[in-house]
Amino acid sequence: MADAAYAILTQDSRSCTGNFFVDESLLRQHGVTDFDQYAVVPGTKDFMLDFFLDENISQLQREDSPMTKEKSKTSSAGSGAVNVEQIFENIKTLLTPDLLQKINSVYAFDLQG
Amino acid sequence: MTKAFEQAAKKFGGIDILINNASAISLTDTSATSMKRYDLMHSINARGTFLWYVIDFIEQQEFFCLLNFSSKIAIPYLKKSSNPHILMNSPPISLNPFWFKRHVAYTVAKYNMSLFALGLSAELREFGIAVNTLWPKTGTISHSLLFKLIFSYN
Repeated sequence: MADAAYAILTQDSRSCTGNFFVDESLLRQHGVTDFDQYAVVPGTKDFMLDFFLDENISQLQREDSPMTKEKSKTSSAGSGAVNVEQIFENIKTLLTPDLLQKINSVYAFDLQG
Repeated sequence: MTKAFEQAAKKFGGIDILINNASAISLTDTSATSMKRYDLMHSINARGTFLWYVIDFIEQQEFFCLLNFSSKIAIPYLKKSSNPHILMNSPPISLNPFWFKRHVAYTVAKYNMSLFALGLSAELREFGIAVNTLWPKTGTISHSLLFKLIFSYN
């Protein structure tokens, strides 16, 4: 995203305006071919596709959206408290000092109900 | 906020680039979206892009956002720049219902940013101020974690 933003902000503002850019296609237009350099884990292929891009719809539908699966799994299971605990346990297994440094943010979760 | 811009312009000798990066998100359907969340999303995504709303956001501490500078306050400074840019972190507008059916409130709030980009680019063209949007093809780790969490709650 930063490289793509740089590519936009260094254009002449009089001619480059009113565009809806997508990072990957913009960088390809600027000759970037190695996208593995942007992967947190080099070699990753199954990225989470972002919203609002029609080119992503077929894959999101094919996967039946992992997020939706998680949703139905969670809502069909027992009490909410257990699920919330489980979610945070899952997060704990994913967190490493390296990852914390990369995220470099604090999230506050306000649980109700 | 006006002071912040004044000070930034004084320290750096002007303002060339404005990046509207803040966003609030609640991936909930209409029944599950409280008016508080609806207002927050529209405040950050639409009003924040137009003016500035981070202070209210911090008081609410409900979701997440990065610093959001305002287009309105920035315009006088940008007019003095030799290559002024406004960049919104918002998507191309697709009217495919797929993007609306699960979280219409978020989608409408987010598209507001893109609509402002479209309108401002036309409005500010005569001053040579560029207004564009940039959107990632793939999600980030923090996005991804949050999406999963928010979906799990609902």
